[in-house]
Amino acid sequence: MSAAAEPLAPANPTSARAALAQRLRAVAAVLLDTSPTPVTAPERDAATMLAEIARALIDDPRNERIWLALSGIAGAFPTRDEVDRVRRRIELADPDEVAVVLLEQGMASVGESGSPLAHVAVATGRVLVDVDFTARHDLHTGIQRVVRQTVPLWHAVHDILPVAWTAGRGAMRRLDEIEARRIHDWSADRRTDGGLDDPDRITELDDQIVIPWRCVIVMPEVPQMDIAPRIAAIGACSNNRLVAVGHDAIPLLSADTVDLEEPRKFMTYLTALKFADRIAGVSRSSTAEFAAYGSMLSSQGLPGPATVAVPLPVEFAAADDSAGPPSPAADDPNAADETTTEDPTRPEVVVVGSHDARKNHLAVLHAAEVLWQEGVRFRLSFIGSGGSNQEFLRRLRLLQHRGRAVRLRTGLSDAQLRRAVADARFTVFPSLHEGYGLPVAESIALGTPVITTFYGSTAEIAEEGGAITVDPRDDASLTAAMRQLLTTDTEIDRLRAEIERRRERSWQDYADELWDALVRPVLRDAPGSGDVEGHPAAG
Amino acid sequence: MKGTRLLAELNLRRTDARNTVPALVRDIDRHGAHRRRALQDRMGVLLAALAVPRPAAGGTRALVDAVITALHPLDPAKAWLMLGVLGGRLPVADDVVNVVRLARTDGPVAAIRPAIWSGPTPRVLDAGPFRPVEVISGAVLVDVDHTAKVDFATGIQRVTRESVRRWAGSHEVVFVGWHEDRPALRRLTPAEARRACWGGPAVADPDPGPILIPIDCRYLLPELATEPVRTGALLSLAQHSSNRLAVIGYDMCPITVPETCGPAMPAAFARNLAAVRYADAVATISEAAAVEYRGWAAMLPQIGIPGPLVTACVLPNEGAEVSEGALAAGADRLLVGGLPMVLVVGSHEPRKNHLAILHAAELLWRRGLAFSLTFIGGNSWSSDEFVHRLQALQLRGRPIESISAADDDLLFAGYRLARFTVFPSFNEGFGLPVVESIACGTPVITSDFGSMREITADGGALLVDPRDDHALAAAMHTLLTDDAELERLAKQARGRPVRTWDDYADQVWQILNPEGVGQ
Repeated sequence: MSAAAEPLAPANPTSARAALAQRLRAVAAVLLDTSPTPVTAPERDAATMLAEIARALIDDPRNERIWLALSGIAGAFPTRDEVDRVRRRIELADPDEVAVVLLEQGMASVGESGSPLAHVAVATGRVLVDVDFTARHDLHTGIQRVVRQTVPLWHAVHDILPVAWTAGRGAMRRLDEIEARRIHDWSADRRTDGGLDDPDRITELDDQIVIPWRCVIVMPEVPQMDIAPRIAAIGACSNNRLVAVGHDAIPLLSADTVDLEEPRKFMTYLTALKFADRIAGVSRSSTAEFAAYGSMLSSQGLPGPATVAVPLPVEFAAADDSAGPPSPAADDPNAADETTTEDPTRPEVVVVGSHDARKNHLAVLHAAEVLWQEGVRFRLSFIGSGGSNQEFLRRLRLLQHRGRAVRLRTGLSDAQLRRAVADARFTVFPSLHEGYGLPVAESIALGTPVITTFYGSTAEIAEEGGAITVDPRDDASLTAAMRQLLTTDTEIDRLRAEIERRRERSWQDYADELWDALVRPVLRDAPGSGDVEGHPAAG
Repeated sequence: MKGTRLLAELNLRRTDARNTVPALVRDIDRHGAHRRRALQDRMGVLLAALAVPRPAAGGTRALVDAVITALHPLDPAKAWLMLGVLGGRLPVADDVVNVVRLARTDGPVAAIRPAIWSGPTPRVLDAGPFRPVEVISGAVLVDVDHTAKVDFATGIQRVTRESVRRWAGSHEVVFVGWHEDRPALRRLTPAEARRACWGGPAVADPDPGPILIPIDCRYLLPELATEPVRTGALLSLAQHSSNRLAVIGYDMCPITVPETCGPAMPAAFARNLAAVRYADAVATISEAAAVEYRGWAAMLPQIGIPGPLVTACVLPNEGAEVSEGALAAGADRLLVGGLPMVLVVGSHEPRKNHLAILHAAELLWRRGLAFSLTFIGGNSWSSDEFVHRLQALQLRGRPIESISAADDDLLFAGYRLARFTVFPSFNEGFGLPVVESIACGTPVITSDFGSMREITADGGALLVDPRDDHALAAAMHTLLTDDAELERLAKQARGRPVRTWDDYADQVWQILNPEGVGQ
């Protein structure tokens, strides 16, 4: 009895009472055996619905029903505390007070995070995909790439409903046209396109709420702090099943390498994640991290999520660009910043990524300086922006002052970046902690050997060939690897040959495996669900 | 723009030119006699720590030459020591790694400079005061910085006090704290050490004493360190220096139940864990806490860190004596109208789940059961809803009381006078109120998982799912009405095998200090 096809347009869209009546009717359709006949006056309709819902909850006050009722009344999902509070108040209240209890809690929530004019549609037995951040922002780092590749592929064969969250951060809603394009029709070279770069824009769909009932909710992103508590309540109190893509646990394990607010954001994420049924890690390493986290939960009487590894494909890096191989080099717009007199025909070593401490760029600068002092001739380029690592910049300037052939290149287009990586003799990525390690995959996808970390996800990417692994905490290890690749051609040739021989999984492979590992096992248990022949239009 | 660039160029040229021994000697000698003498003294201390004789003559130049020779080749442990002694502060990991690199590529003087040069105008900014630096070798250090500064004891402080006073009684230990104005260790004064062991009034203006730099020591941390400056320094100490870190592990609440923790806790705790990654040993206060710590530790190989050995050392369950007078005073204070008293001990933070108790109690009162409900514990983060609900019930005439400050006499009198206690927490590292109740022969209702299940294995408890209000109410109903069941549990409680603080302190010492350093 999916309400997805129900018309959402109310009789009088500007009336809060009419909206309330609509919302109550929508949840009553689920909670009651038979819905009362509608009456014209919306306030009487609302009152009748509310009384019926109150009775239904008195009869059966299970958390999932309270969760649904509160979602409908407020047009915003409740928190765990709110569900507990209402359940207890219902138990203690006189039967004819229950409707008031519900209304009071609902109205408090509306004020906080709902909208009085919201209309709801209850989605029953669907697969929802929460793409809130990716749909509302133009950012295109690792997590967003995964979403923009996977969701369209899923959409082509499965019946999924991508959702974002309302401006009040209280409930889920469908994507509007612009957001749907960000998900389904992303083009990497697109920066701004009539309003795409305005994440604070409030869509006209903002008060068209979707309430899931017996759904599977997929979390491919890391939900933001302001919605995590409501997702936790969905996992703990509702009858929906949560499944997630597990990216990394960096703020938990390597708090010394991240900004101060990152651990708090991540722990807030964990309040929701601990109620997930399943987590699919993007590497065996990140999966092991989440499995270990899951094992901690028995001490609070929770089973914890099942974990399964579904590694990202190396095709990752190159696939989301427009046409084929990188175009021939144009004039380097950063040439004016050159402070070196080094011969441009010398081999170039490229480092891609931001300068956060955990990327460990100071180690690369050190190894390079050792090699320059030994007389090895090469150029070193750091490509990336973001991260304000003053120590790194100071050291870079010092080496430039000594006449070393090292430079910082920022603001490159993706085509320029790919050109630089493809032309490099090798790239270096000795990160201390990664969930995946996009630059490693990028380098290999462009045919360039890479030096990377011997543990974690980057080691997994390296397994298939084309990479040398080092201990990122051991300067001698990194220096030796760079020395070898700079001074002997045989090793470079060997690695390039390995890259040729790699057989990569595709994004299609990843999308299929992810669905089978993450969604299908949970769908099996959910009644009235599954794939649907034919698929509705995007959004 | 061009002027800034020129200035940067000049600075860089000056930096490279500074990396000679004569330049360093000049910079030490030419900014005041006080500073020169202090740095010479520190270089002497450093040489002694490296077991190198101090040159008899030759002034600063001879000292610098000797230091450079003694430090070569520079490894992380020597770099850590050099930064600590010359800089008068415990370094952070980045500092240590940085000077090791500088020694390799920019020369020994470049490596030493970060320890000595603290600003562009040393005469003004680096003129002192230069506290004396003392190196301490091969000792057992016990860091009780926080515990020495407080009187009232939380669970963690209680465990710390009971442990460290016994360690001090049977082993050679050095109590340390931290300087107020810099990330550096200091010996606690005898008065401070006494307060760390026994509690009591504040120690007025203790003399901070010298900077203490340890080598080859066993560094024991029985309390929870959360200040970023302290945990950053401990991380480098554990990772780079010749000292070995061992800690008592209480719980992982900021990770496992972050929804019940205040907003500042996750970041502080994560930084604490970053240091514990490089510890040798963690002694957790229960098996359940060990499960949590081991889960975390199992993640560390994914980032190439072996992690500490996690061993459970369960807290004791010995009771506390209550005098007849205290018992009488307690009865006066706590009992009302001949009603059986149900006692709840613990703060009102969300994790303790006191709202469930209020609800279960109200269900029972409505069914006509007669009992009073007493809470002993303070308000805390996010306890507003509890306070609000409590007051609403009191207004309706329910016999509830909430006492926020109770001394041990009142607390333990309460345990003995109660018919039973209730502790339906969502997650605990241990659950002191549970064993305290059982130790007093008073049955307890607590949660059926984790540490609470574990520490009631010898009986004296009814276990319930704390998320189920009706299960909790049913258990309370049973203990209110079923005298036989109550007596059965009380008998189990009285007959439990007793584990004392002496046992605990000894066992946890063995776990944290297995090689017997300093004995």
